Amino acid sequence: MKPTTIKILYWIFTVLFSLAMFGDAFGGITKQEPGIVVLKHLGYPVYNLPLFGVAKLLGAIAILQARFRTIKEWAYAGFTINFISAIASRAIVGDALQLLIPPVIMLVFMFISYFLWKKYQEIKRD
Amino acid sequence: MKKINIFYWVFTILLVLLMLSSAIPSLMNSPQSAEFMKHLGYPLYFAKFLAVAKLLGIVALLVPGFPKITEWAYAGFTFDLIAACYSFIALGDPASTYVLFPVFFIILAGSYIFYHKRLKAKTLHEIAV
Repeated sequence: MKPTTIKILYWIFTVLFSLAMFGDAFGGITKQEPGIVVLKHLGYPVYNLPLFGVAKLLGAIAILQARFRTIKEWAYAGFTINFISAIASRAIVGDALQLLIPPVIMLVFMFISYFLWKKYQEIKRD
Repeated sequence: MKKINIFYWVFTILLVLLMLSSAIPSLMNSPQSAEFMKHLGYPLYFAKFLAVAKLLGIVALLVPGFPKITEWAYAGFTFDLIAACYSFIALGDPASTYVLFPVFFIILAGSYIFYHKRLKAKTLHEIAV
């Protein structure tokens, strides 16, 4: 893959993923009804909704910046934990298969961004 | 190098014990841990899920040779501590329930800091040798 291709794909996937996370973050911080409904359905305490929102906001910002690599790495870790927990919670609660698919898609999206970030770093080193 | 190792192991063993002290009772279905989770408002399945995650995290911390996975484990434990602390505060529990959390954070930070010092010292040592 050409270096410019990797750079473009990295930015596309990372920006798209971050936009999705900003949306989630806004929903969480402003305590939107769908978020409350989902949390209650999965059995989690609703007081966590704004915390998750803030976490996603900080995570999205961390992923978009390039200066602090460890913080960026931790943000990818946090999102991974978030999506895996979402998949597990949905599965344990017995949700239909189509409800399990959105967090799986987000996880795949995130990993593509992560993988491209690592490839991009390799290129920048040369 | 020897001092770094000692500090690393002291902090890390404390961290592992801390995580095991909550993970093992959950997995053994102790009534106190179930009551505890209910009080915080979490579903019962979450206690088991968290316990398994903590065990995997401990393995990821201790197994050498996979720096990224160890890094993610430290991140995970940090998020766990932050969320746990937040749960107590959000419920409005008395300060006695979460007064120990700064100590937990110091243990986690100590393990992380000396883990990285140890990594750096090992690579420098390998370059020198």
